[in-house]
Amino acid sequence: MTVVTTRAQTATTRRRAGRLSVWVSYAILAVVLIVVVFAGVIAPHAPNTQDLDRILLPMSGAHPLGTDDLGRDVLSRMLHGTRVSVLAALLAVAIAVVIGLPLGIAAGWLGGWTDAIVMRIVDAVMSFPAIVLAIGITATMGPNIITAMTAVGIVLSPSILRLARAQTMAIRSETYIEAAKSFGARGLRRMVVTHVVPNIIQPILVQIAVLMGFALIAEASLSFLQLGVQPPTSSWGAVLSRSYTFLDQAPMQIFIPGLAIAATVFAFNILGDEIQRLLDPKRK
Amino acid sequence: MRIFRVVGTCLLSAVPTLILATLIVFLLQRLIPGDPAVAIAGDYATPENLARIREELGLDQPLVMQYLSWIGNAFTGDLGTSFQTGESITALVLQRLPVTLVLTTMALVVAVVIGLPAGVWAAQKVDTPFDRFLTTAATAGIAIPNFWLGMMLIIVFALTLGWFPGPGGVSLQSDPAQALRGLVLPALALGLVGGAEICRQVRSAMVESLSTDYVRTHRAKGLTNRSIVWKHALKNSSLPLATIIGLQVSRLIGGAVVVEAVFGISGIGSLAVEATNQRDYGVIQAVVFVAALIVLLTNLIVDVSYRLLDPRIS
Repeated sequence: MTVVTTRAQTATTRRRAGRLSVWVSYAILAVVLIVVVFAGVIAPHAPNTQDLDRILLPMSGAHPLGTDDLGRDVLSRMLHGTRVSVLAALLAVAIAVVIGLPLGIAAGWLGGWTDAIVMRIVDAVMSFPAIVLAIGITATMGPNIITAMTAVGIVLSPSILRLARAQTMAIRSETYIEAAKSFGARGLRRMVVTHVVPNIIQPILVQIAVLMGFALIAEASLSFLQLGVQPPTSSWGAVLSRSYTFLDQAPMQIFIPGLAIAATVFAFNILGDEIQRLLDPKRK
Repeated sequence: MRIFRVVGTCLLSAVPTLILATLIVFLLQRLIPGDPAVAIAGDYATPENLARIREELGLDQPLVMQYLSWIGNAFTGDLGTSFQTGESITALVLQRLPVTLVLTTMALVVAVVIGLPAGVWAAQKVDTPFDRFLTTAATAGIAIPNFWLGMMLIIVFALTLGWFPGPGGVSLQSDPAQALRGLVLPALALGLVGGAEICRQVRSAMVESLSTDYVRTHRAKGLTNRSIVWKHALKNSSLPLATIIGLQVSRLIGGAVVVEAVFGISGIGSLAVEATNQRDYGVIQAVVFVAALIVLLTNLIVDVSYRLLDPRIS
C-alpha cells in the first residue's frame, strides 16, 4: 500500500513539475508574442535615438536596463529587437519548410532516383557545420538580416526534408493509401494534398518548434558576428554584441539579451516536447 | 583484413557526398552579387588588377573547367591566394586550424564527460523527480547560446575570480601551456551546451536499452546494476552514441566560430570573420571547405565504427 502511494505521489509530482515547465513556457511565449506585436507601444523610448550625454548609464527608473555606448535606451532596443529576432527566426523556419517539405514528400513518395539524388544533396548540405555554411553564404552575398536568415533557412531545410521523407515513406504503403488508389485517386498533387500532408503535419509541427529555437540562436550568433542585422537596427544578438564590447564598463547589460534568447529557445523546445506528447497516440 | 574492407566501403560511399560538398563550396564564390572580380578588388580597382583577379579565379573559363581546376588545386593542398594579404590561403588555414581543433577536442571531452554519465544516470532513474529535473536542466542547457555562456564564464572566472585568462589568448605555438589554460573557458562554454544535448540523447538510448529483455535476463541472473548499466546496456547503445558524438563534432565546430570571436582566439572561426570583414572571399571559401572536410572525416569514422561495432550492417 505504501509503495503504491509513494509511486502515485511520485507520478503526481512528476506531472506537476512537467506541467509547470509547460506553463512557464506558454507564459514566456505569450510575453514574446505581446512584445512582438506591441513593441512600439511598450518601449519607453525610440530604439535608435542617441543621447551622447547619457552613455553607458546603469539601470535606473528612466532607463530600466541602462543605456548603451551611444546613449540609446537598452530596454527599448531589446523590445524592438524582440520583433526583429522573432520575425527573422520565423523567416528562416518558413524558408526551411518551403524547401524541405515539398522535396521531402517528393523524395519519400517517388523514391528511386528522385530520392537518391535528393538525399545525396541533403547529405552534402549536412556535411557542413550549419553556422559555418550560413556564415559562408551570408559573407559572400553581403551581410544583412534577410540574407543571413535565408542562409539559416537553407541549412535548416534538411531536417524538415528528412522528416517529411521518412513520414511520407511510412504512409506510402499504408492500407488507406492503397484504398485511395483503388478508388481512382490519381496524380501526385491530389494524393499529396489530400492524404500525405494531413498525415505528416504533426511531426513537422514539432520540428518547426525546435527549429524556431535553433533559428533564434543562429540569428543571435550571426548578428553577434555582425553578419545579421546591420546598425542601427536592433535585435537580441545585436544588443548582445554591442554590450559585449563594453563588458568592463557595463557588465550587467549582457545578461538580459542572453536570458531573453535562452528563455525563448527553452520555451520553444518545451513547446515541441508538449506538441509531441499531445499528439502521441499512446497518450491516455 | 575486415577493417580495410570496411574502411574502403565507407570511403567509396562518402565520395558522392564529398563531390557534392565541394560543388557547394565552389558555387559559394559564384553567389557574389555582380562581378566577383569587382567585389574582391573594390570599386576603384584598376582594369589590370581586375584582369589579374579574373585570370587567377579562372573566370574567363567555362564553369565546369573552373570547378575542375579549383577542386584539383584544393586536393593538392592549394587553396589559392588571399586577395587582401597576398598570403597562401593554405598557410593561413594551417596556421589557424590547430587551435580550433584543440578547442573542439577539449569541448568534446567536456561534453562527453558531463553528458554521458548524466544521461545514463537519468535513464536509471527514469520517471522520477530526479530524472525530470535532469531532463529539464538539459533542455535549459540546450537553450543557452554557447557564446553567451562564454561571456558569463568570462565575467565569473576571468574578470571576478581571476582563475583563467580573459579574452585574447596566447598562441598555441608560442606558449602551449598558457594557451591551453586560455582554452578552458571557451571549451567549457562549448562543452556544457554540448553535454546537455548528449545527456538528453544518451538518456533516450539508455531508457530503450534498459527496458530490453536481455537486461531483464541479466537482472534475473543476479548481475550487479553497475555491470548491467555500464557493461551491457551502454554497449548496446554504442551505435546511437557514435551518432550523437559524430553530430556533436559538427555542432562544436560551428559553435567554435562564434566562441572564438568572444574569446579572441585566432582559430579558423576568427579567420572567417576577419575574411568576411575584408571581403576576402577565397579565405571564406577555404574555411567552409575545411570545416566540411572535418565533418566528413568524422562521419567517415562514425560510419566505420558502426560497421565494426555491428557486423550486421553491410
